[in-house]
Amino acid sequence: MSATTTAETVLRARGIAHSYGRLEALAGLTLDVRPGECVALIGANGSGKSTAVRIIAGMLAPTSGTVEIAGADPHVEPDGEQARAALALVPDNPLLYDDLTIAEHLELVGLAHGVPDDELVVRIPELLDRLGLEPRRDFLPRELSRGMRQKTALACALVRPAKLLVLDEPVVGLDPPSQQLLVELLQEAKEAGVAVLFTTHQLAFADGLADRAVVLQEGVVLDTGAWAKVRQRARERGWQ
Amino acid sequence: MAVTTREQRLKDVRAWIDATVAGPSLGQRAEKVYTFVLVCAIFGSGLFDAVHTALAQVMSADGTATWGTGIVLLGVVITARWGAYQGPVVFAVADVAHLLAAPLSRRGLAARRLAVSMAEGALAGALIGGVAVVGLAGHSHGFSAARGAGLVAAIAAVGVIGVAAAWGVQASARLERTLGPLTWLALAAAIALGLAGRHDDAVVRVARWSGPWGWAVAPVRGGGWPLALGLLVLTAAAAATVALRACGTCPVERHLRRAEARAGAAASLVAFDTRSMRQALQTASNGKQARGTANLRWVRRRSLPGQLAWRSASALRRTPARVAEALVLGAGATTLLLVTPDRVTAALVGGLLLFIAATRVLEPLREEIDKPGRARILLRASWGHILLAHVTLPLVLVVLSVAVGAGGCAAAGGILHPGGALVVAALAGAVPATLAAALSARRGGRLPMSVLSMATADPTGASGFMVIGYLLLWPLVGALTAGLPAALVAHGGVRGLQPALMLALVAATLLGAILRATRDK
Repeated sequence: MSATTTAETVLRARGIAHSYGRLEALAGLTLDVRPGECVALIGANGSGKSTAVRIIAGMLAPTSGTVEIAGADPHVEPDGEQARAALALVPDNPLLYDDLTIAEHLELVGLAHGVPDDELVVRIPELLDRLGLEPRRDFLPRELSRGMRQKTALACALVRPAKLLVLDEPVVGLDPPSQQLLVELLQEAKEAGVAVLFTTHQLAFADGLADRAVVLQEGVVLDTGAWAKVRQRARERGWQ
Repeated sequence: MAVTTREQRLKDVRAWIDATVAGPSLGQRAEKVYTFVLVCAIFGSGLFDAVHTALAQVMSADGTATWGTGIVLLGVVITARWGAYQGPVVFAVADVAHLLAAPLSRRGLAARRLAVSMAEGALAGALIGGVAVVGLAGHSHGFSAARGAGLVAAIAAVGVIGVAAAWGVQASARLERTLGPLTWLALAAAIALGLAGRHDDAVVRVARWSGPWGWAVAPVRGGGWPLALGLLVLTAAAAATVALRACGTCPVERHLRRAEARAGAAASLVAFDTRSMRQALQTASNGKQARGTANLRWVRRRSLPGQLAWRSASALRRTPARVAEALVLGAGATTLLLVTPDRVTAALVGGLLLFIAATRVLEPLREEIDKPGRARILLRASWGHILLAHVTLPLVLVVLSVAVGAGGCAAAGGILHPGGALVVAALAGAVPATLAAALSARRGGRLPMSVLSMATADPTGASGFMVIGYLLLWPLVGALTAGLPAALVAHGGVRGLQPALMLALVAATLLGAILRATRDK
């Protein structure tokens, strides 16, 4: 693939696979995500979605295959720094500091990504307000519900600039209004040219959000293509 | 938007954390130092005299030169193995999500922690070296100050090498896999070196120049130790440099596993639950893979012992390392019991090793105790009978390990007179040792509230001893009941066999009765 194509493609995964001992969790996933595009990774529990996300985010080394984020391999240093600057990850289980408040989390993440102070001063209250976290900005994670912690993790991902937003099971723990808010935020990110990749086993959440989808079953790609077509084939197969 | 460099970002983050997360104040730190100095001033002199006198009884320059190389080798390997479960650089779970996932230099994030760990390793080594010097100076009056300083520096350097090796294991799955069997090889080498060195000084001389483990004990005896110390310091410097240069290479997944394991272990520790703490730490390791369904239909499954033997055999078949560890430990214990039973300390250490060998293969019993509901539903026997039946297979394995050790000693011609009686005594001692291990396992991993409340309500200040006594009860019983029969035969000859067998029989009957009387809570 030419350098131009790589630059246009924010995420470029080629044949990524991973085995946990004898269990092949992911068997050769190939995926491109372009700026402003939203791709859904669909599958049941144990289908390999989270393994794919962890490999893409540089948290798990693939057994085989390659990943490039904004042209850089997240698994190789110092290239990984460039990839990490372009990627924002919202994990399925929010990993927060016990001794930092919500606002302090956002400040730390902004600082670690080199966001200037004057931008943070504006961005943090804006995000907290948008996500309904402003009244709890000085709360510690242990004082928050699961949904609030999930929103804090989302705010951490949105507080700094990113070219690729990766969300692992983002709707878990969110009530319907919060899910709707998440859809709106992801739509806005798409419109701003951010590439979005998310995993879910709820097809309804991907409706109106995903442009394309990859369906995984036991680590193998079962179906892929434009969301509407994947959705139609899913209906024909009786999937919910 | 102003562009900040990676170094500047890292500095900013560190400064922000220092300013936001309140650490101990200067006053609090000064108070700790003051307390430490005060405690040292009050107890230091008495403690020094006690250690000096006690170590002088058991330590000698010859003994340290003979056994030291193997012990240092084992120490380095065990320190390196620490990297498989935790290691010198462990982040908080949130650090992994927010700092390691940021465009910051991972080397920069890890280097300071690694450097601090290596300094701690050097300090721990220097302390161990200092204790050894206290013992050696008390025994052989000719032990010079220069040699003492050399020994302290040498063990400090070994501490640095151990921490650097632990970092290598922490960062590499391949090294971690390699290290597993190496630990047992190191144990075997340590025992072999010690035993061979007792009879042949040439072995000690060769071992001294075999590597950093030998160089480390060179100051104890003989010439050429400044050269050995120089080589050791150079090796430690090289190991530290390599580790620090590569300290950004550990995969994030390994950092995350260790961070989660530490959080789980800390939570278990707060609940005084050592078993779940160990299980939490084990999740950081590469872990064992299931080995398919065990085809053990030949085991008779109609009776309760048959059913539980089948279950234990199925579980142990999936963890062959445990069985191998038990066999190696049991054979090593037997070697001590048959070769040096005339020394009561060696006999007790041998008994303790037999106890530990039994604990390695009693995991199915512990799992039963973790979830007693399964047995309640699936088995009709009483809880005590179930626990007793769980001992059958481990007992067979421990006895087998004793037989293997005895066979090895007989082949090497190293068994003390009377050989046959000693072997019988060692075999008899294996039974109470296994039962004591089962009784220890029966208590589960959690410190009972009754012990805790007694310890905290104790007005004499001996609460620590109470807890230690509780923890050491069954290991001590195991060591005594397994080690004393061999010691009795060693001191009384064939005539000592009868009391030895009586002791083992009475102990086994009593321990078995206690185990059988256990009631389901």
